[in-house]
Amino acid sequence: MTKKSETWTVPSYLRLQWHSWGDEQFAVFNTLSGETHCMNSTAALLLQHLEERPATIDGLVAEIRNALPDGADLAALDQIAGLIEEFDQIGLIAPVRP
Amino acid sequence: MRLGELSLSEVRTRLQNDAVRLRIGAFSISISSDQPEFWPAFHFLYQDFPLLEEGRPVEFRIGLFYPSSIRRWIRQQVLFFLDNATPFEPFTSALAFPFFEWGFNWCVYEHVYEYLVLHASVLSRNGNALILPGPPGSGKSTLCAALAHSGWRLLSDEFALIDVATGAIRPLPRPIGLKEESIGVIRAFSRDAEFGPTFLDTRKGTVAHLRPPFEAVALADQSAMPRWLVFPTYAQGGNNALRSIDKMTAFSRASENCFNYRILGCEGFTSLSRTIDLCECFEVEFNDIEAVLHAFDELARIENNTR
Repeated sequence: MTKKSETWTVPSYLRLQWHSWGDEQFAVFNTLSGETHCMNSTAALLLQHLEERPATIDGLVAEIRNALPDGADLAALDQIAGLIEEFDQIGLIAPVRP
Repeated sequence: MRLGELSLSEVRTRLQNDAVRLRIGAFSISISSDQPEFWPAFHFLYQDFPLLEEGRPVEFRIGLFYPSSIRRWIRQQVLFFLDNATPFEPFTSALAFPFFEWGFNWCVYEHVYEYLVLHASVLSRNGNALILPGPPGSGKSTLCAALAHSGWRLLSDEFALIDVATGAIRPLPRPIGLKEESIGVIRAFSRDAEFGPTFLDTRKGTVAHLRPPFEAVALADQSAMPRWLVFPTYAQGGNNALRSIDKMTAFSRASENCFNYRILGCEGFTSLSRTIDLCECFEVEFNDIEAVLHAFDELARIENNTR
């Protein structure tokens, strides 16, 4: 199974604590690892979505496109695969195993 | 009663035979020492601090003593004790006072968990705290010393102690350790600046300690709320102007200057986030103390006018 076809989620054993400054700047604290990650709104939206429910990359692209306001820069959608890769590497998400 | 109300002879007797117990802002300490080089510097630089009543508990029980080896007699050395532990290699006895200051710093950043401990100078105006985080060499102590002699109240040269419960910053006003050229800069800056002895050839070069202003010690039980967070850097080409930085950047940079952020876990995250929420955040590259002080005074003036 490739990363693109995987279904991703924030594992249930992780607890994330969020803080934001305005609509653009976010910090998330991983209570399990003690790591803090700063991110922009696209990354935060993506991770918060995966906290709520698992999704594939294609599913995320569709959902986030719908969540963005009219006229928003859709170029951000191209970053999603890269963000998933990054979140996976730092242990914030994991693929759902049947 | 203040330490300075005791004579040097009385302080020496207490240090040698028992201990001097002081309240130093957020902490109470007990200090004992058989080091003649330490006694007068301690007596002078800590003269305004209140003595603790008998029987009051202390957070740190510090000792400065000769080793039990030949180094008690020849090329004398001093050991730093926290309770009965000796966490450091011995220093030459001539450096007993700076050794005490560095050891006290270590006590705070290694053992304090009720505060988020940020490596920063902190001063205040009208209860509003100006936090100046920075590593050694950033110029924060020089700025701190100048501000402490320009109408700002010194809370600490070394640590922002952020109360995780309330978000307020607890004072820890102590002598300000200055190095090399900074000593002459501050001597020239303020006629009121009173220094202890000058120590040559320390690991940090020439070091001298500025006595904390009386008012800073007298008000050491009064916390201040975070209001401005400024990252200073001494730079020859600096323009001395405050540049606004975004809060996420400030958070990230401040977390790198915390001693116990990771140890505190969620409390550290919440505490630092709240501090950033409360602050206007800036950075400044400076080479002119008067100019950058003017910029800080302007922040305080604007704050005062908008009340």
